[in-house]
Amino acid sequence: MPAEAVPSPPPGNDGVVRARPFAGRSLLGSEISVLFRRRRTWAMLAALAAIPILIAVVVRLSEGPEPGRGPAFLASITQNGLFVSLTALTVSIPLFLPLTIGVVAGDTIAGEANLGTLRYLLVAPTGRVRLLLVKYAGAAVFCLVGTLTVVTTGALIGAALFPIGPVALLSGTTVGFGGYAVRLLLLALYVTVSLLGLSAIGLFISTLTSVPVGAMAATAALAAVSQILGALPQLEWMHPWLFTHYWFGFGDLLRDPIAWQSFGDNALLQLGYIAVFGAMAYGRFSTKDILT
Amino acid sequence: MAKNWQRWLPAGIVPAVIVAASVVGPNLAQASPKLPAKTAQELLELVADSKDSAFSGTLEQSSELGLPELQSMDPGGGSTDGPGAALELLTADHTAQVSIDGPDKARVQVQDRLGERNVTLNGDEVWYYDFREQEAAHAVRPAEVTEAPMGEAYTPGQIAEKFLSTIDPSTEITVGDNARVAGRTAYELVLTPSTDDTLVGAVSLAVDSETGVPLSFIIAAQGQSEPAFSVAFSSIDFSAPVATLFEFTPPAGTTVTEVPVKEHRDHDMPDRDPGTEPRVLGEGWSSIVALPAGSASDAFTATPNGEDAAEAQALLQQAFTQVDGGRVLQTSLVTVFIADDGRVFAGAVSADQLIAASQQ
Repeated sequence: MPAEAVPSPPPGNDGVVRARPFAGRSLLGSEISVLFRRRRTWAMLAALAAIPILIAVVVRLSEGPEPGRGPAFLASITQNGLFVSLTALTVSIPLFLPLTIGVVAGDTIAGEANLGTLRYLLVAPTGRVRLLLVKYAGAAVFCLVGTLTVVTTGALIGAALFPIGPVALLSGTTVGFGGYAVRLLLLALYVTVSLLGLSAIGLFISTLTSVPVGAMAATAALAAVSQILGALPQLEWMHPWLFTHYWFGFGDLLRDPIAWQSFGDNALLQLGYIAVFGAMAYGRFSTKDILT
Repeated sequence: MAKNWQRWLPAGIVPAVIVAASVVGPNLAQASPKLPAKTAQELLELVADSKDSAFSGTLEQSSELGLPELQSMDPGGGSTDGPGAALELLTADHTAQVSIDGPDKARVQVQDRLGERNVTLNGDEVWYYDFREQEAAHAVRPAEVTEAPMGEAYTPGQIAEKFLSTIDPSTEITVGDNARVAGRTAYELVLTPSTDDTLVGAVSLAVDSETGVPLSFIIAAQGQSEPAFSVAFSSIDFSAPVATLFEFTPPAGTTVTEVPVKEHRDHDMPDRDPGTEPRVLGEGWSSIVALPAGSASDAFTATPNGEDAAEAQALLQQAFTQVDGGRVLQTSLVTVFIADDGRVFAGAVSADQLIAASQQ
């Protein structure tokens, strides 16, 4: 095997993880701080924040949209600015959120390999397994931050441009600000969980290459492919297995009573994707020759 | 690095475990439970006794009618009004949250994606609400009307009652294998047409063994393995729903329509020329409903008036196929034949039978 010729870094050692939990936490801390100090991360968050702002400004400047047309919740915005969050989420879930997740998850391993820093990360007493876990945790944190960015920006810009008041849920029940805030947080959690499967796929693809752009593009493209497959009625048998299947199920949290079924189903499905692609990423990364 | 293959083991084992679990899991739950034997009559009484029960559950409806699915592919949008809505309710799959508290309190919430349509019945008040259209309708039930209005004929029990009331000697009623529906043990009542002249293969109703509440209602079509139409609880909870669930107040910004309910509908019908009355040909499962000439001529030829009418016309033209002497809409359960002179024939029979009836 050509690997023998290359000065090979110490192989992944699970014992280290257990012996020095503090090292893992500081590694996670540095990973997250590196992630959020990058200008690219801030640019992506700004782009996500621009979606609700754009929607709110356009609706404010135009005539009120007709109910039942356009993206969901659009018509409700003029009644209640807090609906901007929901419209923005509906618009960002198919494209913008997967795109940004693709960039972050695709960059995890391939980015380090491309910069030539992967070797040094592993020379320090960091097991490969732990590096994978930390990288994945970083991507998961970005999922949450990205979703929260859309939701909170939406609520703020909506409150600034439109009248706000008690919010009507899908079932026609009206809830106050407190109840709505709790539901928005649940909603952000739901969308974050929805994106974890995609993050795991991105992590795996990222271990395959040292060209981060390729991994990013492949991950974002897979999200699109999955959604297209999900729209074809001929492939109905496949639909419950697609990681995008429950992406729009977040509406179930806006019912009265809350329909928890899709939350559970979604979590289980994403867990399956994390397990499968996590195992594949482990298989690939722990046997890979780290050259850079 | 001889151990390299071992590091790939999880990548092989994890998918295998998931596949195994998803194949074995549902099969385990399908094992037929043992229950004390009951006759069909006893089962029907059990169902009739369940009128006062209180429960809430999730109802799954699915159809394999062989029609193009009319559900909107647009994730957030899609109109839920107009003539497409009724067809959409029948042809696409739906999930509904059903809450029942005795005969006077009921709520059915059709859980559309990012939307909801619901019907709430509380005493003599009936509310319909559509979130996407921001519309609500309100009606007061007249005192003498005891059955639930059409909009609520959605639970298996109500559908079953309608079906059972039309039973005649052409039907065999048998008790099928015990089943497990929504985690409950259930008896199965099977209605089989004794004639081969109908598209309906069998109708089966699963009845909760303890409470008598119907848990699933399935219509099988001849020569089709998947049920043509199925409504079944996927989960059910026999505790009384909270009372506030049945108190509906339309949210601000909703267009509310008051629907007047006529006390005596029959007297308000305009006198009709007997020649324009629908006729029923044959009897039992193979009966055919015939509408006289002129009933349907407009639907295809008239210039659509407004967006909804255009949508309806497009739907009709998409669904019907041209045959000798008219147009046929063939689904796995019902066939509709529209003759060129505008007569309409419909029934749970084959297209040939309808065309033959039209030539008599």
